[in-house]
Amino acid sequence: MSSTANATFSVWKILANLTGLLAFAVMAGFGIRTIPTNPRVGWFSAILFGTMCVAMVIELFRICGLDEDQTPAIATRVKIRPALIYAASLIVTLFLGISDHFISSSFTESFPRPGVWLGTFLTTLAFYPLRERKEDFPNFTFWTIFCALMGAVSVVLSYLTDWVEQLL
Amino acid sequence: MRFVRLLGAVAVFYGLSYFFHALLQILSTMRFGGPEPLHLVIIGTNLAIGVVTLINGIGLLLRQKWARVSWLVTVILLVLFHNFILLLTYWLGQDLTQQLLNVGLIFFLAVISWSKLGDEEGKKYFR
Repeated sequence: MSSTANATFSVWKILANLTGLLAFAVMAGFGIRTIPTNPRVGWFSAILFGTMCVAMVIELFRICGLDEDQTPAIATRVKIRPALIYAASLIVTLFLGISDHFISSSFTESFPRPGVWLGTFLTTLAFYPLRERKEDFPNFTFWTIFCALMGAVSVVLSYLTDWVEQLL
Repeated sequence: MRFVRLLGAVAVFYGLSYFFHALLQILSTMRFGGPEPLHLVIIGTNLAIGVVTLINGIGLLLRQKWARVSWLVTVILLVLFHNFILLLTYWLGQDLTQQLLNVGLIFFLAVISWSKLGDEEGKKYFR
């Protein structure tokens, strides 16, 4: 994750990062599948490769933002970007909260609720580099608390989904 | 500009995931015997979606004008395709969760793409 002042955008860097992201996502998936048989190794690889995935996403945001001075409509983006971040966080929260049963069955019933919370927390945290101007957006501490709360909402949603399924 | 590149990255990732899925299906048919005609169609469809979205994604990353139109058309076709698969899954009486998630994800991608790139303002991002 090199960060130099005169770094330039390159499609090859993006492709390399995306390939890495795919590889880490697959390995994190294998880690989650291993949890029922070997919890220690499973959790370790899930957290390690999950963190690598988040690092890759952050790096992708960084690379995509290089040469920003050529952007034509900065004013429009400044208005829209925070809204997009909040919308994306909400979508992730709803997605992970509702789909926990599907994810659980995909990974041999081995995706407990702490995983839902962690998934939502890390994914929403990864949106932080998207912010355009610091004054228009909460600081990192506030954003971390916000992400933790969204994780809790996701867990509540997953309980709610189970309750609705039992009712139906 | 960052938005277009991020959209390109998402499209490339989408294409790569379809490639990966198709690769697993090919390995599976190699392991468990020769592929049936239906399997060939499914693998071919996954590979086709992978190629198209990968090319579109690279075009978006390079901010090419053709990529804007091509991606907007592709994303609509993907929405229609996934809705068709959802209907097919419903008719076959299988679990709809995965297909509903697919439709939801591609729908949001389509909404975001069309809202940012669908008007005259969106053209300014491309060269």
